[in-house]
Amino acid sequence: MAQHFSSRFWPGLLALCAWACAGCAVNFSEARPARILRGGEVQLAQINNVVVPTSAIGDSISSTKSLYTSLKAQEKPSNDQARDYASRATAIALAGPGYATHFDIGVGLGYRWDTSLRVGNGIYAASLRKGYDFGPWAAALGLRAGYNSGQSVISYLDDANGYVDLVSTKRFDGQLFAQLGREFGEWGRLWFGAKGMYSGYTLEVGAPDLGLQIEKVSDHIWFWGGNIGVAVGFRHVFAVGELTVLRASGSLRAFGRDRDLGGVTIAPSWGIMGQF
Amino acid sequence: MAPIFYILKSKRIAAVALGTVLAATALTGCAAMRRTWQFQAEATSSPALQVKVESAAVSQRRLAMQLRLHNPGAQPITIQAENATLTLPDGQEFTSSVGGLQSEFAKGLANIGIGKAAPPVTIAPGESVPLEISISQGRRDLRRFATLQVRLPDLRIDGQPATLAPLVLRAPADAPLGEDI
Repeated sequence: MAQHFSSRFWPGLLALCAWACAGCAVNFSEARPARILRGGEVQLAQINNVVVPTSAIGDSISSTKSLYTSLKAQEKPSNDQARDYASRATAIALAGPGYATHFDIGVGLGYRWDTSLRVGNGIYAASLRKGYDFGPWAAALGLRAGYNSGQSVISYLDDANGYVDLVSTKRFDGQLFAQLGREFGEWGRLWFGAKGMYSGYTLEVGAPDLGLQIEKVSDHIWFWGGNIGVAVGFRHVFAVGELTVLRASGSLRAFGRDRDLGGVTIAPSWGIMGQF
Repeated sequence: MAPIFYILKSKRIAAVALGTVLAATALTGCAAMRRTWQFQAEATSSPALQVKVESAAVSQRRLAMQLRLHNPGAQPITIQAENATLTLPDGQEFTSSVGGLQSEFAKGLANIGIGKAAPPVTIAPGESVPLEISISQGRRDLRRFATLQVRLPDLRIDGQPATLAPLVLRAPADAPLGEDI
């Protein structure tokens, strides 16, 4: 059991993280300039997102190492150890590292309003922004609603972890954000942003190989922080880079264990953007 | 929170479809979202040259004009015009090469000894030739101004500097005006 556990533990854990965190990665980034799209103007973007929750990584590595060491010495983990591991895996799935890519299409509605639709890694999100001009600087206030269907575009990841199965994921993100930025001729854009996000989730998670039945877990996480982004290109096509830093706050109770989901999350994003 | 998830999931496809329909409706039906407007302009002339605006397509960042230059005299004339300027009502001015980016690129190459700049255009008596002007910029929304002025500041007729009254482009009556739009 212990040997079998060791051969599947680490790749499984990584896959679980990538699978579940794809959604939050998509919704962390803004990855677009502060200037509101003018009426009829269209913006297309393909953005890659990485999420690095610094505290979660440190905590999960130390705790899983400890668990792994004790498991190696035994034929079978105790019920207490199994619950500890399964609850940690569930927590990491919600607030662990991840990668995701998304496509974003934005349209200017006129009167300093624009909207965008975002699709990626099972996430569907829509935003609405209102813009304000201050000389060379442009500001925007916006809101975004996102829904995580729990379906990964990389299907094999869904079944990669044989010990902790996320049977279903339903996650709803609602966020408010503000941006301030300016344009440099037809070649550059710079923006700063602030963001607050409420992420409510409902998971069905089980660990049958560890003797733990499926549980339904429902709770929420708060995120707040800011970002800085640049776009460099010419006229219609730009390379985009953005760095988002968010503070997370929340907790999770799964398999009889409480887990803290808080910590600092670093989320770099990059991609390509077209404005037409 | 759970009921919200189920509502969202069951209505997801309908919401996407509704959003698409609304977006399409807005794109085609709202004046503020119309991407290109045709502006109108009176012809202008000097004793040796008449200039008529055949088309003036004004989009957010670009003005694309089709002009027709007519020689009303009895002798052939040669025309040279390398630059065009676009002036907004508040005085801000944008300059571009006549012929747009392609012409600008050719002129740049000619300046470093590769190829030749566009030769003068000859117009026979009573004949006319087309001329394209394209001016792009990224700072202002050109569609939102009631009038735009276009000049050919370095126009030469038979090698001599010529003065031509500016072409005044006027927005159509139903175009929404004002840069807050």
